[in-house]
Amino acid sequence: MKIVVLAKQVPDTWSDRKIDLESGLLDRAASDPVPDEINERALENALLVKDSTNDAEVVVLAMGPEDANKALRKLLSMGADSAVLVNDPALTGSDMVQTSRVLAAAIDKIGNVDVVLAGNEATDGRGGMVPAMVAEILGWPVLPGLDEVAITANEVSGRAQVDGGTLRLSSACPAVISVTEKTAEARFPNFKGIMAAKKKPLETWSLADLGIQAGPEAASVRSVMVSATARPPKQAGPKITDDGTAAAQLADFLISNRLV
Amino acid sequence: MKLLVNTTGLTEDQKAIREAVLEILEATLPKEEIRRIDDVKEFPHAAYDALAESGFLGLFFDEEYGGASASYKDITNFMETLGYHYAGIGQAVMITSIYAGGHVAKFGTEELKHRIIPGIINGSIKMSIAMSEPGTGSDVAGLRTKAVRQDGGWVLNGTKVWISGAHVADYLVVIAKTDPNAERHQGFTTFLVNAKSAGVTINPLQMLGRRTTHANEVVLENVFVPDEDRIGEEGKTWKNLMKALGLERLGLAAISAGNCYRITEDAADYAQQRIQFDQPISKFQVIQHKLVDMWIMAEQARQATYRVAELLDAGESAIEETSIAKIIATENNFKVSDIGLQVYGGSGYAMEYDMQMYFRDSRVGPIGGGTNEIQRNVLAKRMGL
Repeated sequence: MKIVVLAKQVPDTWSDRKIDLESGLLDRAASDPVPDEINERALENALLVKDSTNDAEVVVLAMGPEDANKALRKLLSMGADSAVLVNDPALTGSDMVQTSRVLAAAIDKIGNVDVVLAGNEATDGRGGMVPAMVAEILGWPVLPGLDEVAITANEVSGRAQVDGGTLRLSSACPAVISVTEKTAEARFPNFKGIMAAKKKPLETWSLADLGIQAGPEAASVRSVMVSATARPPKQAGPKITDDGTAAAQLADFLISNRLV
Repeated sequence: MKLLVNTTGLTEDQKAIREAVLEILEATLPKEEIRRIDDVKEFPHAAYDALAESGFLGLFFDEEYGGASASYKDITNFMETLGYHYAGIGQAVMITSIYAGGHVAKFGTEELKHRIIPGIINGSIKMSIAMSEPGTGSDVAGLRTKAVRQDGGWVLNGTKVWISGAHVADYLVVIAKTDPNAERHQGFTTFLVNAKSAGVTINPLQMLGRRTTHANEVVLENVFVPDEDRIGEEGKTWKNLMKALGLERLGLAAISAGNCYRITEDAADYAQQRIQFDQPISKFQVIQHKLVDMWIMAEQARQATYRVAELLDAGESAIEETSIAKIIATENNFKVSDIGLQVYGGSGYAMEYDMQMYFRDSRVGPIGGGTNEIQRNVLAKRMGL
């Protein structure tokens, strides 16, 4: 069984993340790049399959800048068998459609993939659409937002929380799964894994390697960034003086702002 | 928060180890947990076990016993990272793996190494070194614990004090006099004593700091140790003790250097939050200079420590440099905590902030592992004075 785990390098959640207001792109110099935590949970689900069977191969796939190798090395140190980074100057500023096209083409090139595992959304863009788009392009079913995942040789299944209930989903392979933060807690990186990671294959592919084009003409739909403006400064919140109705005023505030 | 440790110069593996260790410690020993275990004087079991489970305790030992045959720089990086997160976890690791485990690894028989070291690496065996006695601190050669030959082994009697981590140890590495007629520095032998043996009593001692790996009194009353648990040659322990000092002092210096950075970062963070006279106190030059002095001392400690690692990796004995690094790092650690406490003002003196813990924990540095006065004696001798 071959499992591909989608990975992404994101700006450190704890740092001050910034957009370059001229280009509308992420200001990569403003914060440290780190592997997105949700990738580690996706990987953990794959590694659990690898732990329980002898024939599972786990490939980590990312599209990103050259230094995204660091994020991939970390995932290799946690137990993935190999990694692929798609890196091409033409991919700078890709939207979700272009990202999904590239990832789907890479999955196709990896070949014989049974399951694609991804986080439900990255901590930077938070679009949450890429797993479904990749599935659509590949023509595979998608099992989105799973809190629990079960993967066998021929079938994937799981449970997803939705408004007012729980969905139980299953599908034959191949399929795409996205997982939430409620799934498997990622294992710690370990010393032997760190040492082994540098010997594991990490390939870098360009668009030419994938045989696809990028840019506005390459996809039938695309998102266009019209303008970017700085976040307005925070406004001071309302001040409630207790004249005997403070509790009611607080409750009104919370309700009107949909905070409860 | 602005992180101050510059990792340039570490290999990619060393950087990955640093990041992995911090990730493990942040998950298993967050600040709230450090405060809790400091308060109740509890050993950092969860973090220790997680480090062992992830294979990091193998750094200290040879590959044939399941270790990683790491370089001194690798070990320095690891210990500095532990000290950066929390001095107590650095101490916890050092007590077993360097202080006590080092004697087994360097001087034990093959049988003993194969019996003990894999357990240290996987975390199932904790150890503690029992050297100091009520009448013996810096004057190690004056220790009085006796070991007398008996069929198939030895019988030990004596009292040891300031034995850090003995309360959680499975084995004690005990130094005892086996030849009462030998000269002052001769006639000592090292023994591996099962801490559960009949006749071993361990009494916890109340200490100012490093409460989670606190000191103990260890009383040995007719404790039998089989011959196969003797470490090294009979009567040759003094020479072995001297050989083990380099790594011990390097470990101490590395923990202190890392801890200097943690204290400096915490103080800088606090100074940027604390408002006085309508602005953060970090805007006042007097506070800025204090914080910069702290950073300089942290960097000075770090550079001195890595210099020792470099020399030891090059095969040098680095005796002078090791003593110098131990002095600089441990004294800077305490000075940094003292200045940090001043930056915090009244809050620094309050138990609800961590600065008082840094202050208490770092005070032992110039005392333990060979007092800094003894280190200066070593240096004076080396200067030909």
